[in-house]
Amino acid sequence: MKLLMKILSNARYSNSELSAALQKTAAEKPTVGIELVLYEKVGIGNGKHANNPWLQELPDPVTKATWDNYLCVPPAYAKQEGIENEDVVEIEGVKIPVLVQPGMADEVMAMAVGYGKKDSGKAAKDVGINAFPFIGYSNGYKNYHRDNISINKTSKKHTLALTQSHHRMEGREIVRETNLETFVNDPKSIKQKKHDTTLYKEREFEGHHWALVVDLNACTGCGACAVACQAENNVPVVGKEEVVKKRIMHWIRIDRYYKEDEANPSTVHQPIMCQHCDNAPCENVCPVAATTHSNEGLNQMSYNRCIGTKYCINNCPYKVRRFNWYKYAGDDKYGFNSAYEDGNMVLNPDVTVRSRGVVEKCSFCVQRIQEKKEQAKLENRQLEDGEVTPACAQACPANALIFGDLNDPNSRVSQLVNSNRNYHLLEELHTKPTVSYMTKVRNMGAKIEA
Amino acid sequence: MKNKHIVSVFDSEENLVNAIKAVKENQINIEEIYTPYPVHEAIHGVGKKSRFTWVAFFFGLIGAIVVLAFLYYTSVIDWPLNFGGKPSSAFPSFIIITIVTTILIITLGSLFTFSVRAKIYPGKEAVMPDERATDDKFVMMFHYEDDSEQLRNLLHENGAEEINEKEL
Amino acid sequence: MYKEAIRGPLILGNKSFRQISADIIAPIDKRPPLWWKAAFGLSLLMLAYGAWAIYRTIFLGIGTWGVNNTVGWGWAIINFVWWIGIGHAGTAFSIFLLVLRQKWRTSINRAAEAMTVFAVMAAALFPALHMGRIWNFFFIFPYPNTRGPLWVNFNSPLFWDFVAITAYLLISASFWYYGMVPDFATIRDRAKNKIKKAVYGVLAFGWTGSTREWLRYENLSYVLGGIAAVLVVSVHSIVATDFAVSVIPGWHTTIFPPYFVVGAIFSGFAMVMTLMVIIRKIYKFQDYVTDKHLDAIARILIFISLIMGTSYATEVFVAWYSNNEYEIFTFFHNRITGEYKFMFWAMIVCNALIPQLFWSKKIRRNLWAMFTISVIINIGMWYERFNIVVTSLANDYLPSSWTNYAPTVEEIGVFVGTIGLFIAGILLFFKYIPMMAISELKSVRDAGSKFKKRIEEMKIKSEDEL
Repeated sequence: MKLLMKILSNARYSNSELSAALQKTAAEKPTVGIELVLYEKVGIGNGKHANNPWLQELPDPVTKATWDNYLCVPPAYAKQEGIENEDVVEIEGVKIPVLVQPGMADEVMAMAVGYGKKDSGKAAKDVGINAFPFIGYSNGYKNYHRDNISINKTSKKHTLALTQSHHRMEGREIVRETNLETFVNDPKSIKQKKHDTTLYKEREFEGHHWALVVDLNACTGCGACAVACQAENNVPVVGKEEVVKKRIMHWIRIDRYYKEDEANPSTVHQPIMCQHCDNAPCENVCPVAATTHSNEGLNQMSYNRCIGTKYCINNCPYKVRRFNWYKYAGDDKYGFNSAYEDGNMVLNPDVTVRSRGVVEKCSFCVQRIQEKKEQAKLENRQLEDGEVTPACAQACPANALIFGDLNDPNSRVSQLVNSNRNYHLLEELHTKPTVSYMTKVRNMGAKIEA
Repeated sequence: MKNKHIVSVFDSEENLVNAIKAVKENQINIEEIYTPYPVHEAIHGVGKKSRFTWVAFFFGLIGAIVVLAFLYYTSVIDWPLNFGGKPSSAFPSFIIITIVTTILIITLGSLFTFSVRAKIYPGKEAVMPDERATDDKFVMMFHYEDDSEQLRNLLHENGAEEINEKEL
Repeated sequence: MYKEAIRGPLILGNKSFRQISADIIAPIDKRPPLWWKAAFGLSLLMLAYGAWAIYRTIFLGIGTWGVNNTVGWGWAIINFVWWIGIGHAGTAFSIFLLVLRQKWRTSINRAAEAMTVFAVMAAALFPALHMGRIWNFFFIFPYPNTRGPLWVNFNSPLFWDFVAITAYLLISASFWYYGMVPDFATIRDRAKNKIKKAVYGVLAFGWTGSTREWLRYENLSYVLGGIAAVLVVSVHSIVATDFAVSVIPGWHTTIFPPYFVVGAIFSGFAMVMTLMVIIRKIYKFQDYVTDKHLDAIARILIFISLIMGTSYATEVFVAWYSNNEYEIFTFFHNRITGEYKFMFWAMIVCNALIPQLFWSKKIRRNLWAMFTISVIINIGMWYERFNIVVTSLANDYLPSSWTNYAPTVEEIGVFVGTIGLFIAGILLFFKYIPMMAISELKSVRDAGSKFKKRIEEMKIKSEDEL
């Protein structure tokens, strides 16, 4: 305490000392050649939580890679040197796989810190390369970048576990975007055209009709919703091998698409979870009635009835259903919870743990809906808007996920659904999803008055 | 209880057919004819008729009604579930299941009826007047009481190779 | 009605009935030849591989296969449809041709029906195995239970499949078996060996050949024939609805039910041709499976190949005409061109182009050519099912889910096991069961000459009247 007071009493602004400090840092020469930048990933950070399997399996918001770090390389450089994704290169004696990253500046490469741990535990062991040795020191400062880097090609390859391998929307209207100018001047023009003919009498939902709205303007692609869902619903961690086989179990995923030129693309993120379609293609084809529609608009999944024919997985146009290919829960090979002494305490007792051979998917956190309904019933009142929040909506730092009751005209969801920006994904299939998205409005090319 | 029978053996379908015509013209009763493959004149000659096709039809009719009723009961009355927003009384689905199940019911019913009426079933012992009837001979059998000189002459005229007496 | 005189005798060599029985029963009386033992041994090896693969699938999980959350069905369903397609031959031969009174079916229908039974057995294995929880398979039966009672989803094509395949297996097996009863009686009555007599005696159900039996036998054949004809069309149409009721581009098309049925008859007849060439060559049954028989099958194959070609062209045309971006992508960028173009073009060449070689009479008379082309047809049909199942799933609506599929050793093992099952079944059939319908052959031996005689009688009558 005394020392602190002494330091503080001596703290005084000094212009000369500031200039001297600035001169030291300015003495750095401009970068020569290719610069290596060290960065912290959203999930792993500086590596303190590298042993958290949820964070290892969280796909990087931009690269969609899990369970590894890699050298991010600009596309022009990769083409020039003849390097492809998953090629192993050697950089100052360290072997690391390459990931070609659209949009990287031409003379920059990047590597994430926090990987390459040996003794932190089962999840972190031997995952990725330790990038900390690349930190430079100059004039008493740590530099998270190095210049004049050269890399050598090797003939080896290292598989990267990406959850998404196709990055373009192929001209399909998946993430709708519009210009700020259009949105301000002619908002009605951006409203999605609906195709609403049907042979059958439509089902009515008296009582609640739960819905979710995703605001694409707010979503940053961070992935907090995916981890929150995993925590809430006992979604298993499957490990790198299974992610490579495209068997990641996340009930909510964030699709990332690149638009325009590869050297300088614009990026869009879209969280996709079960759309809880009122005309669900999946419900129709399950032979044993394991998936049905509730009278509150939820697409229900009865795990104990499922015999695992996987027709529902095939028939879902959004591909949001997940299959338990192996015994992921409680298994030595796949059960990451069992790596810890009290690992099973991470499970939520309100939600079943699924067995091998069973399909699962987002349930709109039905356990939370039921809990709040019961509470309201006990208290002899109606549910209020915003009282029921699924885990993803609760965790989202940008409030991009809004959950509520469509049958309540005053709920936020009802108002958002009536907005011009609101649209359904793959609307022309007439699946009538209760999840809807808000068109992304970008300020593209409007002049900023000085 | 064993009975005696007159068993005549022919070696071609033609001869058998002529013999049948001759015997029928003389109003003699044929007990049974055994052939290696179905011969229509023989079947008519013995006077056998069958309402088999009617039986099959009724199996089909009743089967279809039962199946449709079951489907309607389970899907509309007992526990109607919401599958993809479709109505609970899903006639296109019901009719497909009804068609196939009715075919199955007709088949199983027909096989059962066949076994009963033709007396062909696992464990039955074959009572054969002449074992060559399944190979290359055509056998015509009469009751012992219908035996007569006239009959034997007719048979010989029309190409009977052998005429035996047999106890079955 | 059937102008036999134009086509020539159905059985060559002026055989007596006794000769016919002897010829066809000969393989049952003789010891199995060396080639039979070698082939049987090979099929047992294949069955062993299959058994290992099945063990791993059931005890470790469907994770041992190559399927994933985008491509949920792979080789298992391709093979299921392939086998069912092959199985349609027997029913088509026995039943369609029975109803159409085509007597030339008689030397082929028994083997074709045997093929159906083994093919459907092989096929039925796949829907069972591909289930994640096969031990709960009984959930698919709509039986009264204490869970509600919870019935099943009658709208699901997989339930329709279950009913249809079960019905098909039971009906083909019983139609095949009841057809053999008179022949078992023939073997029983000719047998000198006591054990053989007893065994075939039991199998013959006490058949004596009386009119009482024949009358109802014929009625049974026509009744079963009539309704099973409906079954042939409906079973494979139902298998087609597995895909047609889906929303996935490339699956969602009304052409599938007729396309699948025609394709099934195509692959079935091709497999029959393969088997008949083998029977004719190895068992030396040229007098029964004549050039004319094989010629007739080849002509049918040309016709069906043209229909298949038209179907493929129709699919592509409608995809273009619809102007639907997903359909156009699926056909033009994911089949005709794109990463799956080899599978697509293999299908076109093997199914629509190569069978056209049968227009040449020379090729219709060449056994090797017929054998090769019939095998190529079945390979082409396998590629057709691959096209349908995998390419549509792999690249569907949302590009973020696009992924690849490749089979694993376990998936391949199950397929190899079913081929072993089929071969073993057919070999056992050759050894223990008369491979042609003895009684039916006897009934058509004189068909041509009977007709000729009737024409002559009519001529004489009319001359007399004049």
